[in-house]
Amino acid sequence: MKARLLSLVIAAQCTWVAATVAVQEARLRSGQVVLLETRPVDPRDLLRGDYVILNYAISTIPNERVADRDLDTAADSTEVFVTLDKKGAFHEAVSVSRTLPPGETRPVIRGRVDSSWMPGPLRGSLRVKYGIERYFVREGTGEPTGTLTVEASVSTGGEASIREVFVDGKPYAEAMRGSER
Amino acid sequence: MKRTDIDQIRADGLISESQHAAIVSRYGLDRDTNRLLLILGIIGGILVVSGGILVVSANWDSIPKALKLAGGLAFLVAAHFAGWRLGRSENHPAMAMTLHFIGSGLFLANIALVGQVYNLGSRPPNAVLLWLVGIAPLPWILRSRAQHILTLSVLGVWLGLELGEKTGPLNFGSDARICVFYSMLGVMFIGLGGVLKRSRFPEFAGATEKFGLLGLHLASFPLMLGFFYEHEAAGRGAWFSCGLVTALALVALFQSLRRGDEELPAQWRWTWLFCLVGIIALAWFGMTWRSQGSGGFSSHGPGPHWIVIPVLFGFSLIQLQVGLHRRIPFFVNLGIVSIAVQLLTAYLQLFGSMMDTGLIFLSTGVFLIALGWYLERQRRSLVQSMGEPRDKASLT
Repeated sequence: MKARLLSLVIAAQCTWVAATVAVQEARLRSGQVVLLETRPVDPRDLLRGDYVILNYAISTIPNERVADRDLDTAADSTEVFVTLDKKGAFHEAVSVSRTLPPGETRPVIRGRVDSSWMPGPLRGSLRVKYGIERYFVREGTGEPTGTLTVEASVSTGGEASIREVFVDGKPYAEAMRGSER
Repeated sequence: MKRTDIDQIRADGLISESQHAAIVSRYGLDRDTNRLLLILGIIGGILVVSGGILVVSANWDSIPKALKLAGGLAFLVAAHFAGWRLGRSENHPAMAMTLHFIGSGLFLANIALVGQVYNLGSRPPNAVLLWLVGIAPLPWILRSRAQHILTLSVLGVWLGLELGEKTGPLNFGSDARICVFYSMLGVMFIGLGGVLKRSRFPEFAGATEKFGLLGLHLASFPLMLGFFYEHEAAGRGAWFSCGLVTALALVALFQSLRRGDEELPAQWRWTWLFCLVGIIALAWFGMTWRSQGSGGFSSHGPGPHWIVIPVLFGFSLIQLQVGLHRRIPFFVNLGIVSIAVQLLTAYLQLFGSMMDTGLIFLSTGVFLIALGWYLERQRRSLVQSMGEPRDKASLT
C-alpha cells in the first residue's frame, strides 16, 4: 500500500515534468517563427543561475497602435494580444487588443500589461510582458556584447517560446564560448 | 516521549508487556534513529541537491537538453527508490529518510530545470506551489517528520512569496507587516499539532507544535519594535489572508482542546488556549495599528510596542509553565530565549538612544552577561525539575 502510494506520487511528479516538456516541445515545433529585436540586461536567479533579461522592442507599444482605447488605463497583468508583422528583418507590434483577433493570419502573441503608464517620451505607451523575457545561459556568460536578436515560436493560441537567441547573428552559446566572467 | 521512558515504566511494572508494545508501536518508538545522523543527513541532502544544480548550470551548454531532463527525472526516481528499499529493510531509517528528502529536493530541481531549459518566466510563487503540491503527500505516506517539516516550511515560503506578489490576489500590501500573518500561522500550527496528537499520525504532533511555536516567536519579534508601527498599513489581501488563517487557527485550537490533552491539567489547558488566542489578537493589533507621528525612530517614546513587550513576556512565562507540565524541554528553552530577547529589546529601546556609544556598549555588555547568567541558571533548574515528580515541577 505504502509503495503503491509512493509510486503514485512520484509518477505524478514525473508526469508533470514530462507533460510540461511535451507542451513546450510542441509549441516550439508547431508555432509561427518570428524574429525579434532586443537588448539585454543581466541579473541572476538564485535557483536557476545566470540569465539574460531580454528587453524587446515589441514590449513597448506606442499609443497609436493600441486598438482598444480602454487599455490605456488597464490594470497590471491584464491579458492582451499583440499582432506582429514583419517589417524588414524583424517582427514589430502593429496592434494590441484585449481578445485574439479573429481570422488574423499574422502571428499574434499573448502578453500581460506590465505597466500602462510610461515616463518621459514613452508616456502613453503600453508596456507588455510576454513570458519570454528570461533566457537562461551558462554560468558566467550572462553579459553579452553585440546585437541580440531572438527567434521565437508563437502558437495559434498566442503563447510564445524562445527557440534561439543570437549575438551578432551567431547562436548565443557559440558566440559566448570562451568569454566566461 | 522517548523509548527509554516507556522501557523504564515497563521495568517499574506500571504497564504490561502488551501495553508497552502497543505504546511503542503507536508512537513509532521502535524506529531507532539517531538525531545527529538525521541532521547530518538533511544537511547532506541539501548539499547534494544544490551541488547537482550547480554542476548542471556550470556545464549548461555541454549537456544536451534531453540528457539534462532525463537525468533530472532519473535522479528523482532513483533517490526515492533507494530510500524505499532502505526503508523496507528497517536497518537504515536515517539513510532512507535522507534519500527521500533528496528526492523531494530533486522535484524542485526538476521544476527549476524545466523552467530553465524552456526559459519559462512565470511567477515564482507558482513554482513553489507546484513543489508543495508535489511533496505534500509524502510525509503521510512515509510517516517522515523531516518530510513533514519540509512541507510546512515550503508552505510558509509559498505563502510569503504569494503575499508579497504585487499583482497576486493575496497581496499583503505591506512587506513589513507580513510577519503578523506568520504569527497567526504559528498559532495555527500549534493547534494542528494538538489535533495530530489524537490522530493516526501522532508522531507529527510534537514537531508541528514546536515548528509553530518557533515561527510564532520569530514572527512576533518585529511587533516589539517601535518603528514597526510606522510602516505602511496592510492592504486588502491582508484582511482576507489573515482572516482565513485566524479562522483555521481557531478551529484547530478548539479541535485540539476538544480532543483533550492529558499532559496538561484543565486549568492550564484553558490558560494555554486563551494565550494562543491572545497572540492572534495581538497579531491583528500589529496589522491594523499605525503610528500617526512624523516618522523617524520613536522606539523609546510611548507607543504600542510597550503593550506588546509585556504581553509577549507574559506569554513566554506561561509557555514555560506549560512546558514544565508537559515536560517538553523545547518549550522551556525557547521560552527562556524569548524572555532574554524581550528583556534585551525593551532595554535597548528604553536606554539605547539616551547614552553615548561607549556607555551603551559597556552597560549593554554588563546587562547581557548578568541576564544570560541568571536565565541560564533558571533554565537549568527548570529543565532539571522536569525529571522530578510533577507537583515539584513548577515555576514558583
